[in-house]
Amino acid sequence: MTGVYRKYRAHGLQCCIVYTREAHPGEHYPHHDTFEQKFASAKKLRELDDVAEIPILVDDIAGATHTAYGQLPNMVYLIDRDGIVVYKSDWTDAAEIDEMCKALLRRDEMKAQHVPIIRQGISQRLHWIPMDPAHRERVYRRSGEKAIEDYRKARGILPYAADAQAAKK
Amino acid sequence: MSGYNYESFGQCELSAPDFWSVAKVGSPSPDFVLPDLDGNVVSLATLRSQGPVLLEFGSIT
Repeated sequence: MTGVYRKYRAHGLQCCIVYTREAHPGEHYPHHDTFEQKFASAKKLRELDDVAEIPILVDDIAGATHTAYGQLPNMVYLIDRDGIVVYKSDWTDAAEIDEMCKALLRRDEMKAQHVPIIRQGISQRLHWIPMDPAHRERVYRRSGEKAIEDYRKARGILPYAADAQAAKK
Repeated sequence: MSGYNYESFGQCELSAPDFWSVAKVGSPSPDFVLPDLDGNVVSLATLRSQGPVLLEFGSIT
């Protein structure tokens, strides 16, 4: 995200993170009971994830904005100057986001130069998120043993089990 | 506490909105007005008046 932001901010790209509920609450980062607590956790996110350049917005305690956009934990949206959603994904794929930002800025340039656009098209695709056990273990351990145990109870495997994808097939 | 701010991952609501049925590609994005960490109030309308907006949702865990 930071890389994409740095690359396109001179072209006007605005970037922000909406801080939501904790996806995997644990003893170190528990669920939120109050907005004040949620705000404090959002500050912690800024310290932990080195995203100082990108503003973090804090959703309300009921998650109204998170819900309006679909309530998934790692969603990404690209919205044009008219407020139209031009891209959405259930996962942050930096290369794909980069490509989309470039395409949207190119369209804005075409509009500015009054280049006629024949029609607006749409595409869909699948993507595959590779399993990175070490990264996942880091994230879950950061939350705490409770988060690991909750995941194991819900899914029947450790969140960082190397064969998680095979187990799901 | 269960519901939106669930205490354990296993309580994560199954009744969450279908991701693909809200804020669809080609449709208007839901507006929001939210505080940032420095005490500013930021709206989507203000952001997009300055350029395209890349919006990411996330938490620590």
